[in-house]
Amino acid sequence: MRGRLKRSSKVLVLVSVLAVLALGIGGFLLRSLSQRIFGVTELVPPPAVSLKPEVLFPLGPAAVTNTLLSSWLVTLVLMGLFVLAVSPAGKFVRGLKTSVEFALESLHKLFTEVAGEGGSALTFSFVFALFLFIIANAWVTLLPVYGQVVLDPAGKGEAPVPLLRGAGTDINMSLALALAAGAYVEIHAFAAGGMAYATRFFPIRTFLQGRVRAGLGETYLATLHNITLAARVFSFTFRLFGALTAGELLLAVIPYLTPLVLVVPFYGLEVLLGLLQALVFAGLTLVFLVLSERHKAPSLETGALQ
Amino acid sequence: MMEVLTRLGVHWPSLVIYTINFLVFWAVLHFVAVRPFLRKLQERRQEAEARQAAAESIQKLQEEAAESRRLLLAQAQEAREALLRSAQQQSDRLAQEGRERGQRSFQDELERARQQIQQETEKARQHLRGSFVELVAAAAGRALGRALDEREQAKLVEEAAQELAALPVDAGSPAVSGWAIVTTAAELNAEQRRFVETRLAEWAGRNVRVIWRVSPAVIGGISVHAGDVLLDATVSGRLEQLRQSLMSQE
Repeated sequence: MRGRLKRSSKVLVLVSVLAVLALGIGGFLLRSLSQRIFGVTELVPPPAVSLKPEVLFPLGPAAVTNTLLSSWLVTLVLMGLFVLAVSPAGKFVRGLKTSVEFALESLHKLFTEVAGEGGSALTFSFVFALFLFIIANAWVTLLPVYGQVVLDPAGKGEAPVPLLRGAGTDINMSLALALAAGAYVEIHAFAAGGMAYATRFFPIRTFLQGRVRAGLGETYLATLHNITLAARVFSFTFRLFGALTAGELLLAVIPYLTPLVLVVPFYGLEVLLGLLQALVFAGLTLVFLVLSERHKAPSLETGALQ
Repeated sequence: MMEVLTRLGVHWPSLVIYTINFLVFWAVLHFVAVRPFLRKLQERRQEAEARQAAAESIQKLQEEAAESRRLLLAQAQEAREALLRSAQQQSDRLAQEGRERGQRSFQDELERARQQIQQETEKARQHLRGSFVELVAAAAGRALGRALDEREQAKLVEEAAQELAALPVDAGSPAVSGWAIVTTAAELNAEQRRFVETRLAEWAGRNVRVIWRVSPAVIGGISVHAGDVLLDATVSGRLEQLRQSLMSQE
């Protein structure tokens, strides 16, 4: 009996693999076959590659783009979920509360392992907010409404634009997050090192003391430090922007090439990519925050910066 | 640089909006979720520490209780063994005392029985001897009473009279008052009476008036009672002396 079941399950797996392969190859050939048989050239429209987000409508000096709208929606949904999770209500809220607590506890454990027990609540919430904001904006693009619901802002039917687009593909979001992270790290370093840390940007104290040669050397070091800070912000920005944009482009191109089953693994890959990028961004920010603890005030014992 | 950024889509108002968006999200997340969660986590940690401390305290108490129980058991065991030893010793002592007391009582009883038996035996022997002596004396008296003839009676009277004459005389004695009671088994003849009176007079140094009595119980011989002097030279008296002598012998 057991042998028969094992044999039948093996057959089932084999048939499934063959079916997936057949659907994949069939999907790959579908485009050319349909063109020859049915004369239809575009079963799936070719992906429109645009680095800039599409403007939906202007809002004063700014413009509401589809990525900005997506980020607002994501932010509202997340905040709504958190407010719901802390409110006393029924079974759904209990489950939500449990999930939120589980996520918070897991990430707080990770945070404590890196930052130690002395990490402040504000720092944890900042890192957690970064992680959650990035992962939510990355994963939300997997929803069917993204890229499928289009809008015609001009009203002429010439260039319809998607109503929602992943905010991760907007460099403004990546740059905003990188600037926020960099600013928080520097504020943290100032809080830890005080005015002594300010000399790392420009050694004005050395010049005021009349030590010009030492001041010039320190100016060189300060320049390198400032370049490092700027490079860190750019690195954060373009890593996140590049990875998420590439992921969305991949999801746009693969259905064009093979519209059937083989798309699904790429969706899984996109889930992994979003998680990875969120972890990398938040993790690096946390590491820089921990490193900024080194810029403490001069020790009375050593008389030097630690 | 700015041109590149602009071509990539960097739009400063959008950048500001994104930043504000994120900061608002961060603030809401911090105040709504993270801070209450961390507070709750801290409470749970404190509660867990308190429970841990309570558990450790309970464990310590349990260990102390186990140690105390072990000590109590050991003490109880020692006390039990001491009690057993004491009871055993007491039992042995009591048994020994009982044995000794029993042995002593047995010895006493045995000694008492032995003495009683000895006494009874002695009494029986005395009684038997007395009876025998009395029987012998009675038989001897009866035999002698039948066997003594007049000549032997006279000889006995003479011997008694001789003994009387040999007695020392006390001048202040009532015996010298001149009176005497003479008892014989048979009537004496005149000669015998004179002989006795003569002897009495020699003894007393004066004439003694004699009151004559006849008692067959004396079997033979003569008994003189003068003042506080009693001369018993009768056969019955001799037999009585013999009996006394026999009775006094073991």
